[in-house]
Amino acid sequence: MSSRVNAKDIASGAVLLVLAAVGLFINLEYPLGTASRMGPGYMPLIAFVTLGVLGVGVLVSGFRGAPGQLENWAWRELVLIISAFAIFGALLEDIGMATAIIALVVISGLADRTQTLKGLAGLAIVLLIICWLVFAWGLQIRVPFFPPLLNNL
Amino acid sequence: MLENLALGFSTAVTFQNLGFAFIGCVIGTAIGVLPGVGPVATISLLLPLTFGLDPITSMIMLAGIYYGAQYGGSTSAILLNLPGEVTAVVTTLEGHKMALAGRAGAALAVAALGSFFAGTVATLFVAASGPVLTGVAMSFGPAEYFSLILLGLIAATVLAQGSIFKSLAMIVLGVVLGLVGTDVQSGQLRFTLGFPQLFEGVGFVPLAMGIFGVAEIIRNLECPENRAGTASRVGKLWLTKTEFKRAVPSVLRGTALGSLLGILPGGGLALSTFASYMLERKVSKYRHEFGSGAIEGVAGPESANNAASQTSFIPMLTLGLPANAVMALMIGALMIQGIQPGPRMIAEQPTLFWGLIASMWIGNLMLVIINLPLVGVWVWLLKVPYKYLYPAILVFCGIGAYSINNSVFDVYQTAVFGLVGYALIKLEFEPAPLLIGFVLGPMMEEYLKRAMLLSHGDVGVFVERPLSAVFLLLGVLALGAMVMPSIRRKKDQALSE
Repeated sequence: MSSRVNAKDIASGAVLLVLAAVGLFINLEYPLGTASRMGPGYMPLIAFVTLGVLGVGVLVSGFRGAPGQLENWAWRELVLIISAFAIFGALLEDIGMATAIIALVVISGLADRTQTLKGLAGLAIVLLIICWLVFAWGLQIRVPFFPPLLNNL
Repeated sequence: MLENLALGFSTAVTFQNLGFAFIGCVIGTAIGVLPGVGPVATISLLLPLTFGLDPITSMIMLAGIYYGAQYGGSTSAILLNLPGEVTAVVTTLEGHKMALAGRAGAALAVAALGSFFAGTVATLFVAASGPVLTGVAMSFGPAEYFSLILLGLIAATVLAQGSIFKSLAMIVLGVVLGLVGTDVQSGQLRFTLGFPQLFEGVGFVPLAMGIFGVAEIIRNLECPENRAGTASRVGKLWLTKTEFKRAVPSVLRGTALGSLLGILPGGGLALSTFASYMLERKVSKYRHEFGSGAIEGVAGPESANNAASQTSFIPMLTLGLPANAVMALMIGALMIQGIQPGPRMIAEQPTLFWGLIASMWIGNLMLVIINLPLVGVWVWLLKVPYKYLYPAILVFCGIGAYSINNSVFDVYQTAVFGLVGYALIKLEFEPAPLLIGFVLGPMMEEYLKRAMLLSHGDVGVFVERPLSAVFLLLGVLALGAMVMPSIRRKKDQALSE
């Protein structure tokens, strides 16, 4: 890619335009109403058109302003943190808070390469104690702490 | 005013409120000291915990976190040359030089005492101007509100760094996210993508926590800051007579500057510290010492940022409009409690209004104590490595997100917004205006609809009503000023220095 253009701004402008287009498309379903009696589609129409105009502005400035390149994404960190968070959500209600916390700490811990197994284990134990005290015992959150399966044994 | 302040103090000085003010101040100082953990993320994290509290108690605690962070930020700036908060960047310039010269104690003392003085004056300023502005705001109709919100949204981008189109786009993106859910008037579901959990709109806490908490963590892991620095010795926590004499005028100037700039929507806090530093470097008799540890360079900016953090409450308390992302969170917290911030709050919720103001002063007093004699505790906290901190933050984020509605969907929402927030960072979008747009968007739609209904569809109403016209004109001027290349260059310089 030529270094004359700002790839970051061009990508940003494109993202904004796509969002505006999708928004306007969905908005077709909603009645517009009139200026004095605005329907549910009126404000979104204004907002998404504005977003599109700004998208064009960003896109154009990408061809004119200071050159710039797209930044590399930290995929490893991103995937580990986001998936750790989602897995926490998936485990929380059915398998219990304790398991969810351990999973979140271990998976998100992998994102930092200096982490040691011992450190993570210690951290998980400290957090389990704090969360049991604060959320299970103190605030009595409506989530099982230990896996409910254990109760059936 | 005295009577009202008395009411305020009688509200703030209860066992419960003092306790939560203290908790807020301690948490605020802690996150202020720690680089990479900011007040926006922390407040969104603690928001679910405040639902069970009285509105006043939760406000007092959240406010404590907010200005506590301003105090704490200077500690790591002075001792470690690491700004704990954006607003402490300026403090590293002179403050750390003072520490290297063995005057860390004096720098800490002047930062805390200057902040306390500034906080006291600014609190009085809030108390005096609040009722006056409320009186003005009571005469506003929907047209005035719409124009004022538009002005606020434009102003919120004034101080954002980089492209003006991009900051405006963030505002609009926030407004768009605010549209999701059931339309109040028609009952029409909008942009819910078929998720029943989105019928009541995008979650405020998941949005703030994802964009400011989760995304920031990924960002911090990606570019690890240099945390190896060793803290300077604190030394004696007192000022010599000359230092005291030199600091006083700077504190006064910083307080005045910060009080005024704090009211501005956008980023009054950061701006006020930079402006104060520039001013001190220009007017001080000791300007030749700048760069090698001039006490004026700590006293001025530290006072300015604390004054600004108090006066940034003014637009929120009197108009219901947020001056920055933290205020947007506070408004969110009040609305979840069923209180609509705005000009009626002072009459309908006098204990809330005056209690909050009184608690600001009490909080500032607590912070001097928390920060000066206990500075050793915070130095110790700086030794906790980030690799242990971030999984803990994630755990609290996760449980916090869940506990708002006891819904796993909110945990997933937070994860999605974490992803969105990271993409925004990578594309160099500034996320703070998004939150402001999200809070103000629904109000804006409401006022637009009402104004147009009253005017029978005539857009002219916004320029025919004088106050509304003034707001719009100011908005146009602000936009025009941002487009002017010379002003933009100066602004970017000041913000990135």
